[in-house]
Amino acid sequence: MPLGLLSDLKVVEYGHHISAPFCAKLLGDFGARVVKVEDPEGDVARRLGPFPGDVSHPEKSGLFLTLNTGKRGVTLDLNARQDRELLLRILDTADIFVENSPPGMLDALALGYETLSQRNPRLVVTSITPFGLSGPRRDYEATDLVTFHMSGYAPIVPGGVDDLAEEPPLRAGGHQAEFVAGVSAATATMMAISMRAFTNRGTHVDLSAQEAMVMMPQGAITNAAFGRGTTSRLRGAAAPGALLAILPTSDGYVAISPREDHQWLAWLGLMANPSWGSEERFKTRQDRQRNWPELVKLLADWTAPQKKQDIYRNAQAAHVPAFPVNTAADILQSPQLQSRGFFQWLDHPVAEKLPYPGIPLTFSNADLEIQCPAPTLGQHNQEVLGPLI
Amino acid sequence: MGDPLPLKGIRVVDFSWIIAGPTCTRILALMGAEVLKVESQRRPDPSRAGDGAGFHFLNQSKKSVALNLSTTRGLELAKELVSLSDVVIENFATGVIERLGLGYDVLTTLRPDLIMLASSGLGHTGPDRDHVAYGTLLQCFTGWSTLTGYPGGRPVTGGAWSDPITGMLQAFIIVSALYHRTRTGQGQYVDFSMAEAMCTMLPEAIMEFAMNGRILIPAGNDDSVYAPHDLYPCCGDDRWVAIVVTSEKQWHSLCSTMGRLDLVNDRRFSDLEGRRTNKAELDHIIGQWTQVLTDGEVTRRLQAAGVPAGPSMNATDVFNDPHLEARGFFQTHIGLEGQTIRLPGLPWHFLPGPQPDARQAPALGQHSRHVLGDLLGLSGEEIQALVKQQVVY
Repeated sequence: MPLGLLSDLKVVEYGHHISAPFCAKLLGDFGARVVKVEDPEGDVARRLGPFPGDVSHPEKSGLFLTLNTGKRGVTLDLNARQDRELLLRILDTADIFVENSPPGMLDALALGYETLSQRNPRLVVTSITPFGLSGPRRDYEATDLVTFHMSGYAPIVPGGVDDLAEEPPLRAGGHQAEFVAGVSAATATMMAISMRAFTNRGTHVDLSAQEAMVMMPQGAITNAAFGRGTTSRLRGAAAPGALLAILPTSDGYVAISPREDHQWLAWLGLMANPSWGSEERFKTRQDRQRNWPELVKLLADWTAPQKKQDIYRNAQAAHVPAFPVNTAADILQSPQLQSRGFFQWLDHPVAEKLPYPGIPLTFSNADLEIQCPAPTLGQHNQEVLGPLI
Repeated sequence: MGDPLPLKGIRVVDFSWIIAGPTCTRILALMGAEVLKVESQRRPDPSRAGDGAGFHFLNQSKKSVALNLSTTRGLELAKELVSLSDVVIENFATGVIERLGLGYDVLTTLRPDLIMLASSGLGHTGPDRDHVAYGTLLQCFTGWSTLTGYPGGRPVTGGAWSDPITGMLQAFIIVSALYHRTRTGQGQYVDFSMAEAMCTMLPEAIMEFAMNGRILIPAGNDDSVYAPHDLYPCCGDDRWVAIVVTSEKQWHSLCSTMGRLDLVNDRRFSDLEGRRTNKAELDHIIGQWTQVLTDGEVTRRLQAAGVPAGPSMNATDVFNDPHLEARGFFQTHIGLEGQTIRLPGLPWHFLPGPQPDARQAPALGQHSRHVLGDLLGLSGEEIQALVKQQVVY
């Protein structure tokens, strides 16, 4: 079977941290051949953990290792004319160039879209920036925290709170805004490649990380579009949303969402039909929504002494939507993820063998698998640059 | 621009509903695909409920074909549409589409190079493939919720996150499969797991455990590396500004902008380690400065000095953002009740290239006659009869 879907596409990435590297990784996961260009001191992600034993090492960053699988790696100093010339020559035969430098930086080095497309008119250049290549905030600086908070999603994360000053809007854990930008950039890049079939030309894809994040709070944004002002973040101020409770267990938390009536009855059955189950205040779905905080207390009393996996399996056996609130340890041990072979154990010249999140789907007519571990710094300089010198 | 859109000439039969699948097919429609949304009065898309605000956004530019899939004739008509289409998308529970007689093995007899995307919470193989999953529950299953919440606090659900992000990823999958088809003539059956997709975006937590056996807990707006890195209170009602410093140069610029150059070499804060150790004190000092200014003013001053900063925005702020307006991010539409609404487009521009084709969302069955007549060649009488029989329903 063919290896991947994009095996004839050549991708060059000059990316830092997460968004551009993840975009290029997605293309590589789907079979494209990816060359990652790093500054001589390496992608900043090499200096960000986690590290084994918390000892920083440029070849052992868990973040760098996962984001840069499937790529060959070269180092180039873009302040040096001969290295810029080498990059231009690599790009002459590329299909896609992904980068997330500050707007204007590559233009100032004569590596901007105008130069690149004159040499290689079929090249698609994808530039990921915090606010896009135009507009009043074009040159603003941002990191994941800023981008996340400027999307409208942050008030949604904690939901209704009791104290506005003590419980501010939140970003999600990890660096989700960076990943959202990376996924969106991969989609936009392949749209441009599709377009190339009609025009026989590439184009410059201008991807704004803020705009990619604004696609996420779609319910709140459409409420604003329909003239509904944003309600206060205080608990009870807004209409209750989906009936989902995160309940304490002896070993963490379990999440249940018996929102349909038949699911609620099945859940009560699991609880051996407690007497409060037939009370008026919990009778209909609307009643339960209205009295949700009281209801959650009663549910939590029942779940607290039990194990989350037990509640999960018993609930699902009764067709009640429920899932354990898993930690990383739990998902690495998940029978479902293991059975699907989701985690791929990869060796590496310097780092230890580790379980990498793999490819979250299967294709019937293509094999998909992470092809190789992340490159060591400059690992493929000879192989890639040698023929060009 | 007069250039054709990327997915011009591609036809999609869309059996998906609510958020994740429609997010994907909306992107395909805005990029030029003809998306036939198959729905029925019998089971309308839940996002149509009420004034259908969410529906208006998620289903822009699609054609609605009302087909009652509990009737034999309705299923036949759906199959005929598939035989003329390139892509099928569905997000039913495991086994449902096969029981309807619309499984991949059946559909590929009609259209051998069909691309069929089956999206589900956990995938269609594995011991737990029959588990009932909603997007928000998957945030709990994948560990996303475990990492999200106030510092050292309880996990939070975090709103509807997995649906829109997996919808965007599904669009990437479809356009990649279409690319492969142009080179090989081959279609695909894609078994897509939303939970696994979420796990690919949580590498730090997975590696922290794999390397060090350590479980990460919620950290609020804090960061494991940088300081300052948090949200600071501003004047006004529940207004905040996010400020991040990632270099000594930015640290100096922050102090200078605050009029506190004395802090630069203050032994508590003069290096990153010190700033992390003395985070509480430092955050208090910064908060003293921000709390008498608006979030806009703090942002303006810090950005002028090259320090990453921005207001924490709610949906109204985003909707009224002059930068997004200047970017042409919002487009004006007419809603199903004739009301004027502005909705987001897509987060990318092609320079050069065509604008997205953003048109209003359809009423249920709005395009039944057009699609069944023009595509399948049914006469007006035949369609009328099917309406009466509640096949076109």
